[in-house]
Amino acid sequence: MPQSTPAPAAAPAPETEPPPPRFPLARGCPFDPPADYAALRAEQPVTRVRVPSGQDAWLVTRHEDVRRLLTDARVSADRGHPNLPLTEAVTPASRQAIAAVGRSLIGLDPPEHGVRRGMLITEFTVRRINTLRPYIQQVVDGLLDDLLAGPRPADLVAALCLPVPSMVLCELLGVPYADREFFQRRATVQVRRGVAPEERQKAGAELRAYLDRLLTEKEADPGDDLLGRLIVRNRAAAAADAGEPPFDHNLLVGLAMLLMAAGHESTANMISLGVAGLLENPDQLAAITSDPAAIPMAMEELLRYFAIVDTMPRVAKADIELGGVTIQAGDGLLIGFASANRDETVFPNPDTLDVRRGARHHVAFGYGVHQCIGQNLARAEMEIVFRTLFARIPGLKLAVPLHELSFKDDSSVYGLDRLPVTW
Amino acid sequence: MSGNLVRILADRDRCIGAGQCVLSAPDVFDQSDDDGRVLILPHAAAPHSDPANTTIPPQSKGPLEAATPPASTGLSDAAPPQPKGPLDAAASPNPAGLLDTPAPPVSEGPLVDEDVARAAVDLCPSRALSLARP
Repeated sequence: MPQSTPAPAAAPAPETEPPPPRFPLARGCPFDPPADYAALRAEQPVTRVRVPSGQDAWLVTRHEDVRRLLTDARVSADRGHPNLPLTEAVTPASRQAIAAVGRSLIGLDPPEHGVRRGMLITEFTVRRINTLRPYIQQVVDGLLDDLLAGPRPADLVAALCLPVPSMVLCELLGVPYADREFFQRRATVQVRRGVAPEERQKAGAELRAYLDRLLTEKEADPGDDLLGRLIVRNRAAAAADAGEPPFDHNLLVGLAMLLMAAGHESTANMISLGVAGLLENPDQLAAITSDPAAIPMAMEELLRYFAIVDTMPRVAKADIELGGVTIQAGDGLLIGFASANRDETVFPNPDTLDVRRGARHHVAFGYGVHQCIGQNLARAEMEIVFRTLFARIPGLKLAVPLHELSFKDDSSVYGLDRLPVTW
Repeated sequence: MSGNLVRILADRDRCIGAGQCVLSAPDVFDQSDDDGRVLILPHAAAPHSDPANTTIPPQSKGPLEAATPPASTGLSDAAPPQPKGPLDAAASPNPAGLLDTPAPPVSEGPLVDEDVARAAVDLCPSRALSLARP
């Protein structure tokens, strides 16, 4: 494949050249990223691939290169850029939706991004998230009470993995108790594969309409919750600058949708994959059940090992020399989080799940200024779920063989559709 | 613990409040309740520190490289003497990266163990931390 003379970003390589491999590459073991990543890291660390959205893009597979690009001002997160490589088939409408989601936060570049993120970071500090721990514990305890009282086998995705983050998001955002059932039903339908696309879109639209109304109410009477405090800070920032607030109403709705999208299915997937991974590796499970103090670092290893976000799309704003190639201005980039997390030059025996590894420098939450703002919330949820689940149900086991589980191979966020368990 | 002591410089304008430093070294770092950004605790653990070292005047500090992977790090005594401040942009393998940030306000901390400091610098996603030898 062409290494030194890349084709223009939006156009496939000339037909005389063999086309680049199709992305995503195939997985072998469902717990591992595509096996070809190892050879790419060794031989072609920045390589051309063809994505389902029709473009060719540069796949970046080494840990060092991933972190370098994510801290490089020549790399843009613009979700509206036509060359942004998307790993799911897209329509013009879905591209517009992706661009719209990006406008509130994740698709912005410095300095605009820093202003918006700066409005939010007090909500996600380690200390602030720790104040949510008693609520998270209460949620997990209640869901496990229900699970234990119900039939066996049970689907842990529906019983625990999805409801934990969804209920915690309601608390975080300040969704009134009376609305939470409405909210959670739609939040779950929206992310549930196997549900008809129209039904998912309808749930998403209802969720957006709900958050629009909720924000209108909070603009009139901001409560002491994330969205209420954000509204107050937003007005204070506008008053201090005698200008426009960083977030207008539509951007606030977009942000609330983004927090929902980013904080719901991702955490659920980490829980479902993590439970499956530990049940398949009983020695690793024993290492955390025998020593609860080991759980926080074990969560880092689960995050490294499963890296549910395989790649993150970016676009080059200027020419960049990297890994023996010239990435040209306008080229799409796929930043390989899952590959970086298995980089053997950074993590010895990278394909071994080792909960005692003690490595925090994975990129499961990304790197650079866009690193996951909710990462400490995800850690808190995971820690409480894993500690409580295996303490309450020490005999937990898979109800079907591993190879019968339904993995989300064609989804931009990897995980399990269902996790049948018994005890 | 390396036994060597260094100072950590924190550029609060660059900080994005991810909290990685707090998780990595809770005795050294905190996050402000006011803006969520990094704080270096004034009495951070400084094992084996010589109290005399803590009074070294700031102008004698030599800046060191920042945010390089552990495998390629090494305190460089050859770093040219400069006013206090992080040198990560100049030492970066891609000088265009993050140079859009103007001269940053820098906060300083006490002396901390070099291994602890390097781990925090490496983890910081916004490259807001750098090291300086006292």
